[in-house]
Amino acid sequence: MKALSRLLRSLARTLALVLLVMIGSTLLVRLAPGYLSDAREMDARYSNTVREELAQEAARSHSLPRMLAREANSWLHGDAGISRQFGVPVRELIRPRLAVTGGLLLRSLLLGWALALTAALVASTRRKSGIVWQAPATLLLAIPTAAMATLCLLAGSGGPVFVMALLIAARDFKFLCRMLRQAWLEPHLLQARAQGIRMRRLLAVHVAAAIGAQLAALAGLSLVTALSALVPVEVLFDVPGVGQLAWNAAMNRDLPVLLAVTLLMALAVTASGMLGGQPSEWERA
Amino acid sequence: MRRGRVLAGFLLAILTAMAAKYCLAQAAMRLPGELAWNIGYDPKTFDPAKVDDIDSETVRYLTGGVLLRFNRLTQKVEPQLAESWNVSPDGKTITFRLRAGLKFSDGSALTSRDAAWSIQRVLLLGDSAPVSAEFVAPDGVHVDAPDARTVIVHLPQRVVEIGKVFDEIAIEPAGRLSEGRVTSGPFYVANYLRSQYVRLRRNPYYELRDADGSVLPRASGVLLDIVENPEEQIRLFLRGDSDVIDRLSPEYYEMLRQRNPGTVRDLGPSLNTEQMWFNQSPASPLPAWEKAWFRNQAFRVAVSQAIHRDDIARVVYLGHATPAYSFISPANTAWYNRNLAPPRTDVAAARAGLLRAGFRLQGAQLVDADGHPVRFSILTNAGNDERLKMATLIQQDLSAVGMQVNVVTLDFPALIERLMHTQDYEACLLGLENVDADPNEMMNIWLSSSPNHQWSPSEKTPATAWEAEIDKEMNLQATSRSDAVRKAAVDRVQQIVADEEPFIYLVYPNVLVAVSTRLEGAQPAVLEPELWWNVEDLHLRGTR
Repeated sequence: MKALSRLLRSLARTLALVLLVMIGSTLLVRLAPGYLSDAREMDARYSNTVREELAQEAARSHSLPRMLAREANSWLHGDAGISRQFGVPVRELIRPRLAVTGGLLLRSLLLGWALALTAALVASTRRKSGIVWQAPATLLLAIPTAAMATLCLLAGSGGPVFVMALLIAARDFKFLCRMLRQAWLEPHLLQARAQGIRMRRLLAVHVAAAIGAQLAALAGLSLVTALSALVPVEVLFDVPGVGQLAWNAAMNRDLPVLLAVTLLMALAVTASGMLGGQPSEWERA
Repeated sequence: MRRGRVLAGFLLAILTAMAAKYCLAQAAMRLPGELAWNIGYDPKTFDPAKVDDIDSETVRYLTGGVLLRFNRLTQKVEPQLAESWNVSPDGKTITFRLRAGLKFSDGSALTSRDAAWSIQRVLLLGDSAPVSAEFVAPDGVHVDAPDARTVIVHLPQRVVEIGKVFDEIAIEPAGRLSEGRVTSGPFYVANYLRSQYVRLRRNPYYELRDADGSVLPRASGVLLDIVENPEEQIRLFLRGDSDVIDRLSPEYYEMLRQRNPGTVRDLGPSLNTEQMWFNQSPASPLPAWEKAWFRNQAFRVAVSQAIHRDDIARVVYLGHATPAYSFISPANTAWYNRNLAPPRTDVAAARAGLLRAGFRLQGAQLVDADGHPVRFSILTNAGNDERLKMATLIQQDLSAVGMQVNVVTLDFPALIERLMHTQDYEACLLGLENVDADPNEMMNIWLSSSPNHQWSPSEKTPATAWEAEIDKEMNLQATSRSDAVRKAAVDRVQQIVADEEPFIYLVYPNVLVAVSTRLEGAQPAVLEPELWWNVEDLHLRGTR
């Protein structure tokens, strides 16, 4: 019963979030300067008839409730509306890009975590967390993602996965290092180490169990970190993913696309938060 | 124990390195004999009749067979699917004779019925087909196909340079819309992966042959990678994954020149112009005194005289631009007015002109007769480094005559809203792309009634005598049958514009391109598409 009510609460929270994102995005795009303009207006080849049609279209897009109703209606029909920029259903635009972005996220997360875990394992062997280990992570966090991507482009080496992985690794390293350090100092681990239990068994049975719940939370945080870097990385490296689509949509005031991407991002963040929080709730239970 | 942890870390490091190698690998795919270059965005449409963006235009150019082709190098119209064509003396009837044995890329026969249908479709689509407007009165055009190889187009009125219009009408199979899959041009669309690439394959039934009878096109296909980022385009070019780059920025041109000197070419001034103008619209919400400055010819001329165009060309374009004083570029040899006498850069003359017009210096600040300090903003679009630098140099130049200038950048939708809707701006710096050398294409910019008459859009009647004269001369060049009369009219408009400075022309950016040393047959031209206008002849070395 409790599980069901918790599930219902989560669903209600998600629904409220979807509504808020929808209203907020529509409002922001509607109020953005240039929403009612069209690049074709500057094109001297177009006749006055086209201009009149554009003016009529702009007049139809003027009212916020009407815009919301139109977007909600297109979502109910399942095609997420028609892209203003490309003139095709948003669903068609997003589907191939989701695979690209999903692959990028997955590879970045794997590489980022592998880097962070490696560094954290080695760093946690030290008695004190020296500047040698902390400084690179701090430096990487201080460099904006776009600057890091530009540096890679200028240097001609490194790609989108590399940049995102570095960012994820830098952010997760400190958490992982602290977690591991605390885990190694647990009395039962000290006892186990004193008894000479093998390293592999210690890591698999004791350390992993001790930091498992925190790792799940950290995974959620990593996903959020990766999502936040998605737009600059995809735009600068020309990755045909959802981040690049979002940027183009913002530049062209393409509300249906922006709305779809924002909703996807919001749902991904919510889901990662829920997954991250779940193990600790289980543990408490 | 510590040794064990270090060992675990070492093993993880090896795994990480392997993962990194896999993650950073990027596969390039190109088929044998295939050409490759980049387009910025997904083509909006593969329907050749509805093309209105540059990327769709590229696909249309490469796939669409046309009755006549405008040779970008000689700037003459040449028969393509038509073996001959003629225009009646009154200019109202055009007769095409098709080549014998023409076929579409699927092997079906191409007859005059297909050609007539394709022309009629463009006319019927009206506003959805931008090319239809070039017939001036598309509703009154009739197309006949009296036999399998003859097409006759009847126009209600003469259209200047009508031959070039047929360069934009792709001949498709009648009644079978294929979105580029069945074509009469050198290639057809074989595969399209949204946001990634468009793959074109050679049309096996393409009838055209070169002078020695070899099959055209020489390349087996074209891979159009969709790459928006210019840095990425450069990287692909340097890696050999792309054969050409058009529209290089001066910075990238110089970078490539240092790395691969043999690959870059500066073709000299383009047909495009960069210009600034003041808002003279009576509907603008600007204060009355600012409107008075901007409508004052002496003010505009003084601004023009204060701007150092040579510095703009040298600093902003690294020497790859030519100072501009007219809307027609010297690259447009047929229409450029060589006797033009515009006000040249002369800061002393600018100061004197302003004094004569009632302005005066109050310390270092220029003020008008009523004491209002001359202070305004120049608007330009964000994300264009050259325009931002030009605006900054102009800001510096105008400070020398006491004007205080702010530079404001806006993204394009916001800029369009200011220019076309609210008219809430003082001055604007933008460029104009001229895809056609004929000044008739610029009618909508110069006619005072046009919404694209940027300094004062959609005037009910010409606001000034000189605008009325421009209207008269532009209408004359659009209707006259005499080339000499047309030239004289366009020369006069150039002189009026140089005297009145409604647009203050700054530079003609040069056409900068990069061509791989592996590519043969390239003959870059100033007119678009600069690099692949002769795509039939292009091929990679050793793959002919």
